[in-house]
Amino acid sequence: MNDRISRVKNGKFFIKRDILLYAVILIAVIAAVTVLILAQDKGELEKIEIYYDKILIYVYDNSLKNGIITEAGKKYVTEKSEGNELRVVVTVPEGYNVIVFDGEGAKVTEADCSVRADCVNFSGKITKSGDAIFCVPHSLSVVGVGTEGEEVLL
Amino acid sequence: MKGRNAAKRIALLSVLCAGALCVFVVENLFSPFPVPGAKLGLGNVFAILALIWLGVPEGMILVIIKSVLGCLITGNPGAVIYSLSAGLVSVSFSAAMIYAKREIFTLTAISVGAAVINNIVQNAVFCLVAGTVSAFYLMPYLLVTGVIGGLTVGVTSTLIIKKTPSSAFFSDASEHKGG
Repeated sequence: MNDRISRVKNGKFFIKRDILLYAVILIAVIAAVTVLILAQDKGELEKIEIYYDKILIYVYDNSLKNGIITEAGKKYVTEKSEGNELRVVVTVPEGYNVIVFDGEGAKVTEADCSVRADCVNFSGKITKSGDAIFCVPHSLSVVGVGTEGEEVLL
Repeated sequence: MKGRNAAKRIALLSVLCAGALCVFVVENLFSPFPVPGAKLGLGNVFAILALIWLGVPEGMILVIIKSVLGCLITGNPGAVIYSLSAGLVSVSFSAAMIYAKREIFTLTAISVGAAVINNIVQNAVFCLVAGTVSAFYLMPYLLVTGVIGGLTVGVTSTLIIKKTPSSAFFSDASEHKGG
C-alpha cells in the first residue's frame, strides 16, 4: 500500500499540528472581518449604478427617485414605473435580470441566470453605499454609491 | 500487466470524474449557505480521492474536467475562469501537503485549508474580472463557509479512504509499491 493511503488509513482526523493551520485561518477570518468593518463604506445612499461587463448601463438617483439609461445601456435596459416602485429589466445576451427600486434601495427580484439565482435569493437589498449585488453568469453588478464617490474600479 | 494497470487507473479516474460532476451539478441546484456563490464543495471529495489513490496529474485532470464541464452543464460558462483558477490553486495546495515526505497536517485540516484558499482565490479573481472591490465584503462569509465545507469534505474523504480496502483498486503488487 502506498504511503499516502496508509498515512490516511492509519491516521487520525485531528493532530496537534492541525491547530497551526486552523489558527492561521482564524487570523485570516478576524483580519477579513476587521477590514470589512473598518473599510466598508456604509454611508448615505446617493446613487445606484448598474454595470454590465464593467460598462455603466444605468444610474438611479436615490434622492430624485428616478433613473437614467446611459448611452451604452440603451440596447439592454427598459424601465417601467409600478406604483411607488421602478422596475428595471436588463436583458443582456446571457439572459435577463429584473431590478426593483423602491425609493429605499434596490433588489434583484427575478433572473434566469441559474437555478440557484444567487443574485435573487441570497444577495439582499442595496440600502447603503458600498452594498452590492452581483450576477456572475450575466456579468452584471448593481452597486450602491455614496457621496464619497464610487466603489467600482474601472 | 502495465497496460492493465493503466486501464484500471483510467477507469477509476473516469468514475471519480463522473462522481465529481454529478455532485457539482446537484450542488448548483441549492445552497446550504445564504451567501452568494457559497457551496459545500462536495465535488472536492473526488479530487482528494484522485490525488491519494491515483496521483497529482490525475487530481489536476479531475479538477479541470469538473470545473470546465460542470460550468458548461449548469449553463454557466462564464464561471469557468473562477472555478478553474480556484480549483487548480487549491488542488496544488492539497497535493503539496499530501505528497510531503512526512505528515504535516491531517487530511481534514488539508481539506479545510484547500477550501479556504479556493474561496479566497475565487473571490479575488471575481474582483479582478468584474473590476470591483465591492465583492470583497463577501470574504469573511466565504472564509467561514470554506471552513465548514472543508471540514465536511475532509472528514468524508478520510472516512472513504479508511473504509475502502486498497485491494479494491490495486490488487496488483507492483501498483502497491508505486505510489
